[in-house]
Amino acid sequence: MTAISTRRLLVFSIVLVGMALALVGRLVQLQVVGGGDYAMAARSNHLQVVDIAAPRGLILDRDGRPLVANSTGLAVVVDRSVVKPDDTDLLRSLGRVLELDPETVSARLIPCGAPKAAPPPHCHAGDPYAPATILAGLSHDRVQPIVERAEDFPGVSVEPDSERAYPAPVRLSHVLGYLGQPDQEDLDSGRPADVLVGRAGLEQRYDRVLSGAPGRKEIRVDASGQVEQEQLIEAAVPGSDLLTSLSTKVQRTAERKLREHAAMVASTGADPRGSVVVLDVESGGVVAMASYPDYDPTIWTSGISQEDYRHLSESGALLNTAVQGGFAPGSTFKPFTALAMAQQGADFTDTYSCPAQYATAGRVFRNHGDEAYGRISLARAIEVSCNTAFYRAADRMWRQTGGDRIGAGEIDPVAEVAQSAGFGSPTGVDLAGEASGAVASPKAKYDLWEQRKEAWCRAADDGYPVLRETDPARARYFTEVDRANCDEGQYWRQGDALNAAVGQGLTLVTPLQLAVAYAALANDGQVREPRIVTGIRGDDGSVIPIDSVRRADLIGTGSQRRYLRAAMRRVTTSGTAAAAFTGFPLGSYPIAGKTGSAQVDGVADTSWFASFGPAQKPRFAVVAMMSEAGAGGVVAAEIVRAVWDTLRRAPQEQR
Amino acid sequence: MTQPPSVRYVAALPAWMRRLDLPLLTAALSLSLLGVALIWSASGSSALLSDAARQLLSLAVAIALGLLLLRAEPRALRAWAIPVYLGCLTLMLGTFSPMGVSVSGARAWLALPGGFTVQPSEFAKLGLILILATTLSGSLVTGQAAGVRKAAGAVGWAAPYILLVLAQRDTGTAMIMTAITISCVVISGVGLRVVLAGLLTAVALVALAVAAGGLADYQVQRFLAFVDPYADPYGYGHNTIQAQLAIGSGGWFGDGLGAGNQTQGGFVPVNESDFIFTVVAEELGLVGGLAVIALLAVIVWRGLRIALAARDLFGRLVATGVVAWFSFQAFENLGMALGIMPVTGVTLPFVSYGGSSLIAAWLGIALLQLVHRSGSDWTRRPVRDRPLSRSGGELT
Repeated sequence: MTAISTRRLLVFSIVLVGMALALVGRLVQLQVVGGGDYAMAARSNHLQVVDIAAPRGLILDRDGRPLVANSTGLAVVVDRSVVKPDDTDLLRSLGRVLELDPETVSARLIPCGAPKAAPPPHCHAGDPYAPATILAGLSHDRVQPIVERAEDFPGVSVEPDSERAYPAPVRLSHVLGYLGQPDQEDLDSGRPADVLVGRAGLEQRYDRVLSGAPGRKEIRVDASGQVEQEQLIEAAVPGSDLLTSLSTKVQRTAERKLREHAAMVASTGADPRGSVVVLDVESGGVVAMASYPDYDPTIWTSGISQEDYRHLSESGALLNTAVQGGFAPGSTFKPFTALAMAQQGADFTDTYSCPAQYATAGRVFRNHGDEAYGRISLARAIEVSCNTAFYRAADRMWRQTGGDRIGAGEIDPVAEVAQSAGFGSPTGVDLAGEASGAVASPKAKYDLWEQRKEAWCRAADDGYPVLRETDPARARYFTEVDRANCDEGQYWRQGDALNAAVGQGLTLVTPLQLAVAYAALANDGQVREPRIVTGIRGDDGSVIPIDSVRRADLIGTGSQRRYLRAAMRRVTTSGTAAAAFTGFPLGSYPIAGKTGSAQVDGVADTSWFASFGPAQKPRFAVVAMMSEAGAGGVVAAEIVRAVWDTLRRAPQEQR
Repeated sequence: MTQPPSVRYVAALPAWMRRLDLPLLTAALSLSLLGVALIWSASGSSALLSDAARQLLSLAVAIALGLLLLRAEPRALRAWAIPVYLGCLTLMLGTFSPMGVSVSGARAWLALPGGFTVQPSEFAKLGLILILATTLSGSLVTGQAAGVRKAAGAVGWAAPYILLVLAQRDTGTAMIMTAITISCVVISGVGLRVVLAGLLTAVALVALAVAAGGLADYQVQRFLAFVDPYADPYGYGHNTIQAQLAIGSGGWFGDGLGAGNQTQGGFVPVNESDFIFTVVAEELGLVGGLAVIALLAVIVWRGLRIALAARDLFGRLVATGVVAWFSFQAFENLGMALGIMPVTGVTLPFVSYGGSSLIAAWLGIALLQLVHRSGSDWTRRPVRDRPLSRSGGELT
């Protein structure tokens, strides 16, 4: 043996000592220096705090029957720490059971916002560390293969899952709303990631009330995720129920009639929107609110497909026409013009001239069908919907208030009454996204001009070069209109006043606004905020009532409203809606109403009928509207009549 | 004058046992018994005592076989070198036959009748050490062997083993066999230039193999996970992360045997075997972890002492080989648990669950004891073939 061997052995020993020291140093570093952090991380490894879902509150109709309930479905949930988006075999067999293609399943595993994530709702929304729900709302049979062959589906579990159910035979799509996955904003505001959020209608407006508060529990799990122990930290607070004034029966009639008539109108090639609103005149409660187009609310329960969503938003079915659609009210506006006339000193007992045409300022304004009635009472003018009588009155008022010299910031008497009646501002109904509509007035016209004048002037200068190629006459007409608007669009002209008097021009109302205004006419002249929810019922059964708010505005005097009510009663007996009410027991159950046929450029008239009844002591106001449907006395009046049939037959307590 | 009791006790032992290195034996026995306790804890309530009981049985067999080996004449070891080498080679080849069994990706096991499995590469380490010691001590290379020829011979014997374990996808064992070979060549006294040239050639060959795509995907992934375990926290980085969580949460004194959450929850994979150190560290804390390292250090220290005191180069190289084996394997095993070495499937000698590993380790102890017995007491009479020059330079 050599000395060099011995020396190398000693060097070798030193190397080994160095290795030992490295191990000891690292051990001390992990256990003593960083020990706390590691212990904490290890703790979260086996101890998890999980939310306990709070059952969401129900939405009940006026008889206490559920419109929205909860049903227990099954959800297929995947532990994303076990199953990866590229586990093709597993995803394929999972897809086969769930009847989904593997790409869809795989997309559900990738958190939204990750580089390769699919767009919502296909990606995994919510907490990136939480298990991903592949499909919810499943029956026992659907998930049977997964439960039976659990060993073939590692990381996949079937969990009970509460979902919204709609037991009533109505859609009520826009009123009830739907639930969706929480988005980033919800999460930032502290919403739990695995609890759905109300996205529209009552579900959105009363989301906090309905959702309650989830509880929390701490669970101890082993590496395979098996729960070994559970400890309650905080119990869940169940959501409260919403009691509403909605009547399933009336809603059902409204929806059915809307659908029937819309189908007929659509068969002529039109694309109608429609709505029915029924208000309780006394309380302001909404008895029915239907809109067309609508959708089946169950489409949201097990996650809407991308195609369905696109279809819904493109067809406009997500829009709640009753509160979000703005339409010219046409002649249904005349009672408010009449109140303005009275305010300006007109006497309702006078007679009014109703010629076929009324010419002023170089323009000719016509009656519907150029009919002439001679000198008639105001009541008769309402009954037969005479335009010219109102044109003449509006012309006089326009001159009285200053004619062309009326200031740009002012509003005229008609607009004043319209605003008191609630037009031009949201009604305050307990739904999100309500539209304001608009009231025609000198101010409104000036504001519009301010906003649009540049575009008008530019278009007038250009002279529609493209259109001129094909239709020079039309291009010339457009250019003239734009030139006129550009030059003097800020002035409140005679024509504007006359149009406004018969609910045309700049005035736009929602069906709900019209119903609220008619309810005020029917009752004590006081405008009320409509309410869908009448009370909130807590878990313990106690009810917090929600009262309708009365606005300070009064429209008209008692005698004026009485006069108008009497006049409008004649609309259904011998006036423009008489045909629609043929066979209705108007003697015992008189209905007062007013038709409207609002002109819209290029398409058929918007059909309106606004009513209240029974006329001697009104309880309900019913409004129907359908665009591109023609005269109000036909489509809208027929829909309203059917609703009254239901209201009339329903026992008192069920109305 | 009466002798102290211990001496009297030693005197009562048979002659072959009388000259045992007792600290070495004690440390190995302590580690083995601690291992049984840790396996009992790691396998939890599910397996009852069976894993720990099997390990205890293996320990009995291991000690019995060790004692049997102790009865050998040290000289006979040279004669056994080639048969043992060839025997192990045959068994390792057998793992590629239908009798071969794969465990977590490595096809390193042979199925035996009666449900037992054996891992030939564990015993091959012994065969490698014997053949290296024989070759490098010159007995197989006749004439005035140059260092180059010895070293080349050593590498030539080692290469088939290393390539075979690589083929079994057992990178860890290949690394340890390489470490044993390099250690033995260096300690044999071969010229430094030869050693360096050999190392450079080896590095070049490995680089060439890697460049030619010889690195399997799992090797690349494991290396990447070593660099940053959180890059793939549920895949290749999982073991490392969970191991560090277990070790880190142990603190000074640990959670107590059978009370570690990481261990008992089964969060650390293969913690009865490759990651058994996490059980010590979590349940017995820094104190327990240091104790394991200390016991391993005692074995290595006694082994080095035996190598230094060996009567001849053959004995020294046998001892060196065993020391290199234990130390590098322990370093790799503890290092991967602590996150300072890449993850490879090697056991912690004496402690990890596994009969082949335990028996081979005890046969390694027996080899050390044999060398110890054949060398005279070095504290009184240092054994040197030739006197060292005063300058300490090499005399040839």
